[in-house]
Amino acid sequence: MSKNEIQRREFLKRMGIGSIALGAGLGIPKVLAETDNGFLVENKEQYGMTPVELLSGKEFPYQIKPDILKNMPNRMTVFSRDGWDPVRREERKKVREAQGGRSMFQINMIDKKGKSPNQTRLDYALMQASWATAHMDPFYNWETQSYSIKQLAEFGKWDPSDNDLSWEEASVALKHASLFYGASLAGIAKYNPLWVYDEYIHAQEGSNRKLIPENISNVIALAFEEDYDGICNSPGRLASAATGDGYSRMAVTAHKVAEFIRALGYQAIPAGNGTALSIPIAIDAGLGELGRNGLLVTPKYGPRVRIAKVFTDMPLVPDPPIRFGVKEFCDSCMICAKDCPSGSISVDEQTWEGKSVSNSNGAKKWYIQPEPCNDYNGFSCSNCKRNCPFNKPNNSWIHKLIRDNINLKSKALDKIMVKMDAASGYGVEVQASEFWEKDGKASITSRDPQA
Amino acid sequence: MFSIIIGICLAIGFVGLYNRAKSKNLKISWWQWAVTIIWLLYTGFVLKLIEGFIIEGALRAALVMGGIFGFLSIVAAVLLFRFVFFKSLSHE
Ligand code: SF4
Ligand code: SF4
Repeated sequence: MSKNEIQRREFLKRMGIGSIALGAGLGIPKVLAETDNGFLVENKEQYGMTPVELLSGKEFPYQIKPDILKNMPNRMTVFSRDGWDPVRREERKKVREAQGGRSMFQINMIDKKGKSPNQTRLDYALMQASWATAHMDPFYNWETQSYSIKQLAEFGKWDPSDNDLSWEEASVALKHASLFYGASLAGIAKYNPLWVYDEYIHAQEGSNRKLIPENISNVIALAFEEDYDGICNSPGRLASAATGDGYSRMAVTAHKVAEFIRALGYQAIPAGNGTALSIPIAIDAGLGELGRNGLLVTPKYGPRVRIAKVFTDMPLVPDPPIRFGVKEFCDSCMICAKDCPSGSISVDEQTWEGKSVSNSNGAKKWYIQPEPCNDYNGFSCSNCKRNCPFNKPNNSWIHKLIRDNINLKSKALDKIMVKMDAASGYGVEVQASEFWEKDGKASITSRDPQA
Repeated sequence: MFSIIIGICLAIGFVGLYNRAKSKNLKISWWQWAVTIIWLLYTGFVLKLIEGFIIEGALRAALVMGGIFGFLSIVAAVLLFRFVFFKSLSHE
């Protein structure tokens, strides 16, 4: 038996996959080597050919201190505080005063007549329309409103063995459905009540709103790629358009995934940014690692994604978390921190707690300052996505070569790569006029599927 | 397509060097041939790199990376030609 075959068998055994034929596209990744904590693998669909370490044991790509880590009160998030916290009201007032009492919209659309670069009426139109389905409440309903879904659900809980499938295969089918409905990446995590917002929706008890039911056992994390050219316009309006489009796709897809699960007779609770912290769930589900910029960094799209999730009682098989050298690279990089226009990103070592009351403490990470971030540019920007070296327009062999080197976790090499990346002009702001000169064939929904 | 053109150019380059070595009766050891082949492959890599960046629309990256790696290729070429393929110039 060849070394590769042994590794493959060992891989299937250790990952709890069993000797099954997984579905196309989300199939068994190519095992490159065995590591101390799992396996080094490649899988173009999920990881864009970045070599990734699948953590097979109890390892997670983050550390937590249980005595500090508590459920994050939703009312303490910066978005909620903007609504009730007098401190935040005062800060927002000062920002507005610094703008002569005018909002960004008034400045750009009325004062400058929609003609200032990157803030034209065309740019604003793309942005406003991109949010069209983002906040439509029915998409995030906890119960189905559809007669045809109810009709199917009445048959009771679906048993995959009725269709000659195992639960491992059913889990792949669910991820396949998620991609079919529009997610760019999908992963499954074991439900961890610690990530659920408190004082809004409590994980198990003492709720002042809805409860996440006790039988919920898993979460499907869905990541949505944002348009590369749009994000490259940050802090221009087109980056907000890419963001809004991500939010709109999140709502529609999470809703469809939830309806799919309900049709199979199980409970499904779709959520966008609400209900629970998205990033730890996505990390648990093996979608990526946490970067210095406080964002999920995925192997395929870097930080250029938005995240939705669907809670369910369907007994799915969770995916292993992954590691591909983000922490080590961020140690040497700092690009996002140096270029953040509001100084919100830490240039220091990782800590267990942040400085802001809006930080969710208890994990060892780089804590960002959400207040100045949220106040910048009307409602923040996407510079820390645009200029991150993990954000690239495609997964060509050149970027694969760089990612292979990142996996070596060499500080010296990382520093050279950061310098070369900056010198190559990646991450610089692209003007909206350049965006509009293009024909759109590189947009996320119409470009070469292999890219 | 571009890969094929690069391949053809490199092959022509190699045959040209081989013919020169033969016609001038140059004594070229195995390791010098090995260095020559590595240089040719490296030059092919640089050209592919530039092509990759151009396809991506990253013109500055093509310029910067092409400049850095291309410069190294040119330096290697000068050394190779001066000390291997044209070393006998002064004796010709
Ligand atoms: S979104 Fe903009 S302001 Fe906020 S942390 Fe990132 S770069 Fe800084
Ligand atoms: S820009 Fe650099 S430091 Fe910031 S998240 Fe990306 S890799 Fe990490």
